[in-house]
Amino acid sequence: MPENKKNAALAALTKLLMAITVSIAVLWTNNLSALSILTGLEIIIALAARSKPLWKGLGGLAFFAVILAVIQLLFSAPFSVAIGSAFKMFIMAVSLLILVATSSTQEITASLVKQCHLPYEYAFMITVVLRFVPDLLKESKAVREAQACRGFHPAKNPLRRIIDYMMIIKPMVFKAIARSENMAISLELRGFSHKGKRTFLASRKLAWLDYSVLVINALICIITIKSF
Amino acid sequence: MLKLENVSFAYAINNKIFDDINIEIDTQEIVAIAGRNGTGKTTLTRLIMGLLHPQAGRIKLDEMVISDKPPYIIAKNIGYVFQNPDHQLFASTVYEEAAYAPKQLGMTEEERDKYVKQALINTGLWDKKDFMPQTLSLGDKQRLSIASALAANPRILILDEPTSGQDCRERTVLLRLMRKLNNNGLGIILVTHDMDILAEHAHKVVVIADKQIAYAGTPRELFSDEKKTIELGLELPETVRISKEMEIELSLTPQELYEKITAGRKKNA
Amino acid sequence: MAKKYHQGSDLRWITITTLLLAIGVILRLISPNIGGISLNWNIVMYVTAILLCRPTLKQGLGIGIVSGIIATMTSKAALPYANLLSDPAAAWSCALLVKTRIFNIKISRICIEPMIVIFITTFISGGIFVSLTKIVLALPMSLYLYAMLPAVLLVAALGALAGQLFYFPAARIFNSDGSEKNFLLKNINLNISKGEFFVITGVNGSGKSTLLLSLAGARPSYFAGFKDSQLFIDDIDIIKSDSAVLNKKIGVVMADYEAQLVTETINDEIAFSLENAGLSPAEIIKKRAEVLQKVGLKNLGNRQITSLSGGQKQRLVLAAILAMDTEVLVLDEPVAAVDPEGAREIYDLLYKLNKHDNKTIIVVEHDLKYVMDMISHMAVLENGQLMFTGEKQDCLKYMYTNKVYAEVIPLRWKIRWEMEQGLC
Repeated sequence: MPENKKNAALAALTKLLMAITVSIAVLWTNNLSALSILTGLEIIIALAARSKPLWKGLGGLAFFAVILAVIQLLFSAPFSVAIGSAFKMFIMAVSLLILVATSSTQEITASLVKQCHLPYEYAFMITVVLRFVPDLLKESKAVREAQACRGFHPAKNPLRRIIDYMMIIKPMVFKAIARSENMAISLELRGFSHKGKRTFLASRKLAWLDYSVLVINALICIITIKSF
Repeated sequence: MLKLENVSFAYAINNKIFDDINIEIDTQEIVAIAGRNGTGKTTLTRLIMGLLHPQAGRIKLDEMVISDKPPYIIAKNIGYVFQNPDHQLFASTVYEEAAYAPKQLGMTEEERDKYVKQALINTGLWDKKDFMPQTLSLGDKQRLSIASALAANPRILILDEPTSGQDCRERTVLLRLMRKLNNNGLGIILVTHDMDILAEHAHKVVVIADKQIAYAGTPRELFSDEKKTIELGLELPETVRISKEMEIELSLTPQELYEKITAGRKKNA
Repeated sequence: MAKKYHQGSDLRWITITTLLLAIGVILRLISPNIGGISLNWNIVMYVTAILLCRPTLKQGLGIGIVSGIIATMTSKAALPYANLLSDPAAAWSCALLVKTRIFNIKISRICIEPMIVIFITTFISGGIFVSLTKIVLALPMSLYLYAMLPAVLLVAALGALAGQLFYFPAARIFNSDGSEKNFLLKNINLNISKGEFFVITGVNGSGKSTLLLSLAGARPSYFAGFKDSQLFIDDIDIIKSDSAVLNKKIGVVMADYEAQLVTETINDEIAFSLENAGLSPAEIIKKRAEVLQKVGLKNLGNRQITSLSGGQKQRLVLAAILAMDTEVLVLDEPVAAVDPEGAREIYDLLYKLNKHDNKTIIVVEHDLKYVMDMISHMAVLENGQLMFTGEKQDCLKYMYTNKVYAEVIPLRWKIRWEMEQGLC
């Protein structure tokens, strides 16, 4: 999977711009036909990307869109409005999901820094957060097991459950704080605060393919909105 | 007696960790679990603790079947001390930390105070009972996680690589504590890859290899067969190596080694 | 104590925020919820980070931007982009509230600042979020008033409660940070020659790590500093040098490999140090292939770091440091968190680097099991004082006779001496 991410056909920036274009387009219209056409096109693209996490995410978001529509209907919103906002939410979320699932984090941050002028520190923080998520997930499991061996088990009362959950959260937070010091030292020693020019290995210039895809994408959006 | 009867376990289909194993563990002794990396040492202790459940067979503590029970029930009988104490320390004082399990397991306040105090005294942490757990040294933290398991007054204590990351002085203190607890009647199941510790302290060894119990018996018998020891993916302990080099009778503890050497010298003289 | 960190570690706000935000992301997935409403742990976590580090307003805004982008990338919200506005606004306000300390109020001796700040921040963030969602998606007013806003209030209240419960212990850890590590070093005179494999031993808390990080030039900026001291590598005065100069001289590997790996794949990790130094992409790729070959991770470049074993992770840290081409390698208990197989691999690797690549290697260890046969010189520390430094045999003999951390002496050495003395 990571190999796929590296050699993705399109630059991360292209996918980001596509996501933004599509999002603007769907906010522009309330026409259900236009929205469903865009949704259909997007699903085709997502399926074509052949990425398992992307497909899984797609399912989750579809479910969530249905819930959003149902909640609105419960609060007596007109049917077309309820369905319309579910479509909009789905389209916007999927466009971002395609970006995240098919580009490496390094490339996304590189393009955020080089092309969108986000300060490097912030972009770096994003990569580190995503890098630690799977490790901390494992750690949370270890903590849960350790506490279970001391008699910890979830209570029935939901409020109680949240308070009890501190048993899991506290060791993790404490460990993170202790770890943050070594991490800061290590960053310093690896030249993170070095003032000179920094290289971005993962940064990528837009190629003719990127430009053509962007133009086609924009055209599709405009045509769909205008024709209904 | 802790008995595993025809236990099979797999994390995923076609990937069996244990295939129909049978073993009896004496709950009065220090029993070490050894084996190569990834053979399932901690899977075994997790099964005993109820963190995992066998797909076939059962685990019994005396006559009580425990393999279908969750860890918070088993915790009354078996304490589990994990390798990394940071994964469990959460309270704001040492005392509170140790008092968590007894509270959770429904002891009366009187009992609780008694066992917590006893556990903290045993582990040498009574003087630090108002300290914050996270600010203790690593050795103290590890002993605190032992104390917090002891406070539930279990019959058996599982120690999973208890000396990892500790310096030699802390290690000595910890192993001495383990011996003392065992002398007071607590059964110890020790997961370790350190053959020196195993040779010096364990009464029995259980070696896991190829989804089976490949060896169960005394360390002396195991290490006297060098070929088998190596085959099982273990190393000879330093004491055994020295006794081989000096061509004296196989010695397991440094104490024994000293004695054998002295005896050998007297004989020669 | 707390003040020192604000002068010294410019990067602590970054590391704390990222680790806590990562916890926030997973808690959103796994923590219990009340009727489908779960806490916004991201907010609780970044407010905690802001309360701990008390960053500038600009840094506060940055924390918000980061949290917003992360939330946009990971959440399933009705309007994904709303976080890009709500989080920065909320985090900036939070930094402002924390800076002015207006809520530093005590009720019966308990400071309730965290509770109030988390409540307000969550309310600002959630308020902006649901308002934007309502307007953009044209949701019904009744849904907004009777469901969305009350939900925000509930989430804010729960978050405030949760934050209050763990903030103070967290702050104590943040400010005391391993009291043992702060041990001051006294009157240390140590010379290590070029190309040597040198070990510094002593019990945990004897000051080994402090000494080692001082050698690397890391400690002086974290602590009040040195008094009447001189520290030289070649002719470079470490105490007076800028960290950029030192980074070229000394590479440091610490025991906690997790804390030192900051990217997703092996390739990215090696590139990180080199990118910081501004090398050209071609140079980076060449250097990277070279060091991965050296540490035995050659064909694993695209592997996710999460999927590596402890030993592999530690070798990766070493490779990332090797890529910086320093003359001296300094390692702080490099195998403390690694299994025995991995440990042996690491020491074999260090031995090779010392013998074939002529690196000066300085290792701090509380266990001599793996290094005993590789070294010729060593030193022993106790209570922040250098007790002995010199040839291995002399040092061990000193430790044995004077009972200075004698536990660490290998059994066969003890037996030899005891036989010499006729003790056994």
